[in-house]
Amino acid sequence: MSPPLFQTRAHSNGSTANDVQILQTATSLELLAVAAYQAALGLLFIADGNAVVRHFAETTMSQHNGHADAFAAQTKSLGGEEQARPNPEYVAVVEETKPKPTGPAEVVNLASTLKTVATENYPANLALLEDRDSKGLFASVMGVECQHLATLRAVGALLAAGDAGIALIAIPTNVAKLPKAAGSVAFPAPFESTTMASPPEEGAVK
Amino acid sequence: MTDPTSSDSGNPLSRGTSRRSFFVTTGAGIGFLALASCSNDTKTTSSSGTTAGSTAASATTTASTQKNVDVETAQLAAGLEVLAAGTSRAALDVATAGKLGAVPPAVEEYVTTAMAHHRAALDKWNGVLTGAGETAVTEPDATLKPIVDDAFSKVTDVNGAAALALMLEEIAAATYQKAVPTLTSKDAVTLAGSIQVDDAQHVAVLLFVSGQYPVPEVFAKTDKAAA
Repeated sequence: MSPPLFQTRAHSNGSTANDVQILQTATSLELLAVAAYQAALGLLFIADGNAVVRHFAETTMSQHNGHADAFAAQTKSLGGEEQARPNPEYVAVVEETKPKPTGPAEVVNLASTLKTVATENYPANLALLEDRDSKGLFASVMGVECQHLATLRAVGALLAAGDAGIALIAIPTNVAKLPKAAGSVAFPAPFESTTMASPPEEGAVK
Repeated sequence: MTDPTSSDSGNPLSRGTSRRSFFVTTGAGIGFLALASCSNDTKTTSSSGTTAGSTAASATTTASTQKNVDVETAQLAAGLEVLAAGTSRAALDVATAGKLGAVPPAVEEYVTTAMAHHRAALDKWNGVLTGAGETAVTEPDATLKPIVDDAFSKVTDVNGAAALALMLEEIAAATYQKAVPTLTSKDAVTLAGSIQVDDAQHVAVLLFVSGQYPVPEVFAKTDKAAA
């Protein structure tokens, strides 16, 4: 007898467990981001620096908190345990880097690295989820996380351009003076890579 | 003025880039090919393993519906990509003709890059469609085309062009986001998710260029999705 070819939506305990792990790992990455932005906002050159960079750090931290709460709630709705700790794979990187930054460019570079992991995590693990509501939540958060990454890439490029670039980190900016690369640096490829994505179990509750 | 939504048959990127490499690198075609072959499979089995009668009919319906969801999404997505790429081409043409006034280098770079991305996305979707035995999409989404045509006819400067681009990118990102939970093939989910990321990033840059905060929402919404 042939197996049912499209019988892939039924929820087995295994798929639910995998969904829970993915949601816990997503939560851990959000909590990591919150910790990183908290640390960044404690740095004088961020707290008293460029107003847009500071606003971005504050707003993004708040958005990550919202994402973490949503993932935690979804984890519990599937019968899983809420992840309350930051991602163990990358928390050490943040801790090690905390005392080192001497300017906003280094902070933005670290944030870009962490954000790349988070952004690539979504399309990769989205395909592994079985629960439809969890997929919807993932897609919604992914649509925001990738914008954080785009912004960080653009801000990083402007910071690297020196005073002239820093002056353009403003809302509204002077579009006429933006360097040509500002039109493409935020999205270097038409399809986001998934090579830095976290495996489902990386941030699971042990 | 150039028709912004005409299909771009002269697009060098749309010829052969990538069906083969896409299959090799992502295997996305495999999932869609499976869908196509399954739709022709007359042998059906219920979830309980019983084959026959109404159960078989139900399974056939389910299979057909699921096949349609992925294929129809690919067709919708491809139509949006034709529209976006064609509109970008038209915007570049009128800008080059000096009809939009001075065009900042970053804006020209954005349009060129976004156009290439939309063509690449179109190639992907057409690759999976033709790989599944379906016809490649070469025409823009019929529902949105008149809306975009009307909006494009009113564009007189860079700000207007940016506003139109923002509208299109928001629609595209929301469409992919809405489709993702409904897709049945994992390859389709990954592809749609990856393109959603790119389109949402286009939105962020367009918001910034338009004088707005680039990440205004805590959760991305689907209310602007095309149907």
